[in-house]
Amino acid sequence: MFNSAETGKCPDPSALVVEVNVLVVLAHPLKDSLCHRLAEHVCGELRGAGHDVVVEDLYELHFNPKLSSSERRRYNAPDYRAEGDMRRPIERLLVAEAIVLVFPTWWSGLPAILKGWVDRVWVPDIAFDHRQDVSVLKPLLGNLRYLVVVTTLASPWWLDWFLLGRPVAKMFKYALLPSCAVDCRFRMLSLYRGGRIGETRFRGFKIRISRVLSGLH
Amino acid sequence: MKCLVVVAHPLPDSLCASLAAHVVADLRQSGHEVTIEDLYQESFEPALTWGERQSYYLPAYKPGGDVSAPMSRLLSADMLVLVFPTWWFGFPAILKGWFDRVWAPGVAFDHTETREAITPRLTGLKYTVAVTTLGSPQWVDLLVLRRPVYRQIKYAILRPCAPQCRLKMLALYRSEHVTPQRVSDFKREISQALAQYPTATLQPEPAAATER
Repeated sequence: MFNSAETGKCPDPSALVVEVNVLVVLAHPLKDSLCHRLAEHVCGELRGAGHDVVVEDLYELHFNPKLSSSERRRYNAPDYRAEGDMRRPIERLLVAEAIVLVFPTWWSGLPAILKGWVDRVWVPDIAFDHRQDVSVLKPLLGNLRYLVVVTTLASPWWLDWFLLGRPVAKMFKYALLPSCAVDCRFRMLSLYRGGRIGETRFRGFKIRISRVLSGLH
Repeated sequence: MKCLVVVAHPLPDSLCASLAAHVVADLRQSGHEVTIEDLYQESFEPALTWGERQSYYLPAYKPGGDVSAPMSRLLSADMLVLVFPTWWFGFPAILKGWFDRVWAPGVAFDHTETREAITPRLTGLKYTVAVTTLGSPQWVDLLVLRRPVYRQIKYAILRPCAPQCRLKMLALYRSEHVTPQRVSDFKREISQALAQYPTATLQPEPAAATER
């Protein structure tokens, strides 16, 4: 869609903005956290560029992260049925052309509430199809073109890269996306030593985020 | 030894539940004192709360009342056995939440003054055994993902909180295509691993209990 108010004239190419449906998923319990400030920055940048932004603040929504017994029982059945509370989050996933996840990395992994969002929203018949063979996942999220991860870690970069082997990045890049959204580009933006951050480094990180988000089209 | 068996599967008739029952029976038969923490059955709440995060770096950490019993069970354990399905190459949310909320400041570790690092508190925990089922084949876990769950337990969790603790990981791959034969082979593998651990805490550590 083109954001040109003028008709009959050839619009200035720089004013041509392709609107993208972006889902921003936020997973931090504190409103005054670094993550909330980063999410605000993300939303500001996206809205400023004319994108359509929906925010899913998992704590605010009291998202229940536990895959239920009936969800698990039907997981490999031909008719997976999500619980009622997953209807809206699933709808939002299905229409998203880009997803930006903003969360703190705890114990080198996703916070439980966000892991639960993956466990319960990226489900059979929605994100992938495994009816032919439960070990072969056919991607279903054809709309999804970008996944951007914005995360804060207390640990230094070398620990994440060398000792842990970047488990969060690998999970998205090699497990979730190849199974659910093949044509999706992935970017990981990690703010290391987040516990001791000065204004300069924080500003630098926000610039990195802006650069990545400006590539959305 | 005092063994804490943490189970994280919603279905009582699941493969994980049957593996957990096998673990518990084996440990009891060897004379260990076993406590079971079945997270789904206890309706464990996995999301770190506002109050917990807000006081995380304060001198007085304020955990939710619902985690005080799980915390004391963790503190008294000599050995920890985790039984869980690996979902998307990570813990199920409920088990991730057990680490997020129960392995807390003042319980599993202390913050250093600079907040730069943490110092261990679980100095009594000697062994951790992780028993997991994965839908994926072994080569994907080893070569593509490079064992993220193993590394997370070993380097991100045990190393800072219980550096003396030895980790053994037992994984049943391609668990969606499991045959009764493979399950019984895997149970035998679990029994062999568990038999290596001393029943009394004062016995010397066996050489065979090292990680693989």
